[in-house]
Amino acid sequence: MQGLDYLKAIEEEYLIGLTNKGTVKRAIKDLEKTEIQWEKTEKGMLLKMEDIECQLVWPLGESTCSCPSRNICKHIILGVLFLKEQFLGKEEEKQEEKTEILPLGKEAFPSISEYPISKLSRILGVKRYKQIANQLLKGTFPGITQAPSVVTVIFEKEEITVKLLEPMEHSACSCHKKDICIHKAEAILSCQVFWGCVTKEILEETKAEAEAIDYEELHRVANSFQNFLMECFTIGLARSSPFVPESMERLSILAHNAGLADFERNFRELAEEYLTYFKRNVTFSPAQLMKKLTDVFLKSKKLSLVNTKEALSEIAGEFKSSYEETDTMHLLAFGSRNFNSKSGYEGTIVYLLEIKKMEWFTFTKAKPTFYEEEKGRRAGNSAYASSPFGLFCPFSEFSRKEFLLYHPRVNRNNRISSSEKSRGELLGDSSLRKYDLSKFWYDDFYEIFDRCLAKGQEEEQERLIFVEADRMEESVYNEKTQTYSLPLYDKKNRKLVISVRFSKEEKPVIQTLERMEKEREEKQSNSIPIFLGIVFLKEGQLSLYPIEMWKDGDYI
Amino acid sequence: MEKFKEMKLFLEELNELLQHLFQCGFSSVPETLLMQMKKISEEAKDYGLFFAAEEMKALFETLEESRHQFQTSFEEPSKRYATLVQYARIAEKQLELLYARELCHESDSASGESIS
Repeated sequence: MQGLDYLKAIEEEYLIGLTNKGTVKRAIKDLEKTEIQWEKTEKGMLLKMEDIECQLVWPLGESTCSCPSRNICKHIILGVLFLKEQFLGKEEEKQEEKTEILPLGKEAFPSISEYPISKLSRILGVKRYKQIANQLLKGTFPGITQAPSVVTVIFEKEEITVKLLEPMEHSACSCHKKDICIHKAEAILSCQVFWGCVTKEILEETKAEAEAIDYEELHRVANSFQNFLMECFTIGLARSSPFVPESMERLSILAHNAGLADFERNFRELAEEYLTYFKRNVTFSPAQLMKKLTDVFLKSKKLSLVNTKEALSEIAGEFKSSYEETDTMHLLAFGSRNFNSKSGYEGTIVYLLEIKKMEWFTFTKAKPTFYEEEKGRRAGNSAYASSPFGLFCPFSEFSRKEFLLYHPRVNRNNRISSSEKSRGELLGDSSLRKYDLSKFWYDDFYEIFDRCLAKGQEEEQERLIFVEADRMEESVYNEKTQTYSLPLYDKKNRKLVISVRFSKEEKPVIQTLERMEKEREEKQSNSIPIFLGIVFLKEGQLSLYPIEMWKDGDYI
Repeated sequence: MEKFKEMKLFLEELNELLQHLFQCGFSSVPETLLMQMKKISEEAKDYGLFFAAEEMKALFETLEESRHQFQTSFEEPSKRYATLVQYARIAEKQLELLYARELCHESDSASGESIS
């Protein structure tokens, strides 16, 4: 296209796409009072205004200016508006008479209509590509409006607006990413299907290609995992290289790129374990490292033989659990606990009982700490943050509330998503007296074995119980293992130990238990609180990690 | 209860040996550790842990053989080793559950003693 044709195609929307609305408005305002001189150069047009020189080239995005701005600045826009006024002023008047229609559709946007579909599917990833392809196949398009130089694509649900310009590099998205983001990719694909450049058959074909799993590549990745772990076993821990954690990090990236979520987590945890070993940290346990290494090795072995999608998803896990909407839930929040995982996350888990189904659910509020400096900023106190689902209470009180949850989204592990669609209706404080909780209520500790431990239950929700003890003994703090133990007995003298290992996160838990004991002693009270906790075995002893306590039906 | 404790001690011994093996690495297993492996393999049979006995014996044989070779592939021993670690862990868990259940059942009369 020649310079004049370019000038014709340029309109306000295009300029806004290149910069922003404010810059264009300012340029329009300054146009009248700025004196501009121009001369034609080999590249395009050289414009001089005050002490600034602008070199305009076609396409406009490559133009340069002598001002300090590194992007398309006001001067370039000013220059374009000036040239339009100078050269097209009269022509436009003529055009109005002729009412010439500029080309719309794929002809006006060759770089959009010819953008390779394989690149788009790579940018979007399998899951997203599948989603958008299904929508387009059904004939559901985002809002597409065309102007001579801009195609505006609006994704209403996500509140995203994409402005596709010619050439593609200068397209803009309201997510503010400079490169081709997922929204731009979706917009391009939508336009291509809308204009008929991509037929339904091609879309179906590419969808199937995107879904296809490259097992050969997976087996290759599995072999590299195995080889490295074999090397660890062969060399031995005592002669391990200090670069092992870095290699583990490399493998976790390899796992990420191959879509193996669990392996990524595992290798990151292994890297952390090795780091604690090299730092001579007291928390290091060779048994723990040995267990993790062998687990990952056996899993890699399985991965190297995997050839079905189901088997793969079982071994590899998923990066983001898929949550599905279910019926309205009636939930009772019965406590929370803080966590700080070695895989680089910290936050709070809230335990919720669904009254209709009598099932435990969890809600997790977590933030990644992996990228934070060791001694740098820490995650903020979430207690003062607002509650999820639009509930009118601080997060610290959320764990003691009863509420209805509309449009809840739940994954297969009974975790509730903090989806914006889910809305809560507060009913009051959760209480032990209001509903029949006998399914989880234990005053005979022997029953706990059959219901919570016999099948090797690993999920916390399966081992969450209320404990009503008959008597309680004085607590003991083991300095060596740094563990607080509070023995409880049922009517038949069967023992269950409240056990909490000291850590930064558990310190308040131990303090609360000690305070409760002290108050009991001072008041010479015989009443024993009801405990909600996660039951487990520790050195052959039935133990409970406490989450919440109630005395006479009230929270402690 | 004595039986539980004896089995627990044996599994601890097995775990300790596997840990030592992990510390020194397959490429430089000391003679004493190899002898210990042989001994544990025989003892495992006596305790009725036949799978552990077979795996340990095979692991011992491969590692002993590798001491007299310049180049050995440790793929097979790695698999055996990882399986043994997992086996020992499951056995320990099962034993702990059985012990805790027994302890709880008997605690009407006895004062709660610990497996350790």
